[in-house]
Amino acid sequence: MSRIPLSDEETRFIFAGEARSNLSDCDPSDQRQIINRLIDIANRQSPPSQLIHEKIQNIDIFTAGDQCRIYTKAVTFVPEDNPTYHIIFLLYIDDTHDYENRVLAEYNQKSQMLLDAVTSLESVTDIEDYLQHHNALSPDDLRGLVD
Amino acid sequence: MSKLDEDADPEYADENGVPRVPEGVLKGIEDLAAENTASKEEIEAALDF
Repeated sequence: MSRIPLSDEETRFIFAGEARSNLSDCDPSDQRQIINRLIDIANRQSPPSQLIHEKIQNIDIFTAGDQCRIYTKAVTFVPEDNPTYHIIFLLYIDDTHDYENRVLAEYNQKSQMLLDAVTSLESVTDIEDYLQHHNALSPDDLRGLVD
Repeated sequence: MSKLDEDADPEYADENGVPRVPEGVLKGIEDLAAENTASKEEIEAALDF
């Protein structure tokens, strides 16, 4: 039987402008569902990487309800020398998972490398500064949005 | 072809096996590259409930 490692790290969420725009376009009930799902991911003892519904190359997709898909890059156990956080970078939110009516684009190697580069924390010397600079939200911040 | 590619839904890859994603995913990556991230206040303003 495989064991899922428990995690004491805190989770932070960084919304790309596009994800924020997608969230704005969702129905209120879907918006609430998405925020609650993020809180749920942060509350779990297992790291976010254990909760990924599907991967497309280096993109991590979480579900929210039956239809919503949250396209992210989940970076766990950072910084490497003193793991304190998991960071979920939200790229895009699809409230219907309706591929037939979506404009699809090639996710080529160049795009994959760019995602790895922009979510890499290798050169980050102060994780707190990094989180603040990138408008990272805590689970408490999210709870404040739905309470 | 990787195991993940084999498991992927057919619409995720073109005839050459290059994955396809909603265009907004690429926009999201470009936003991160440009450090265009949303603050808590901006997220709050996006919510309608």
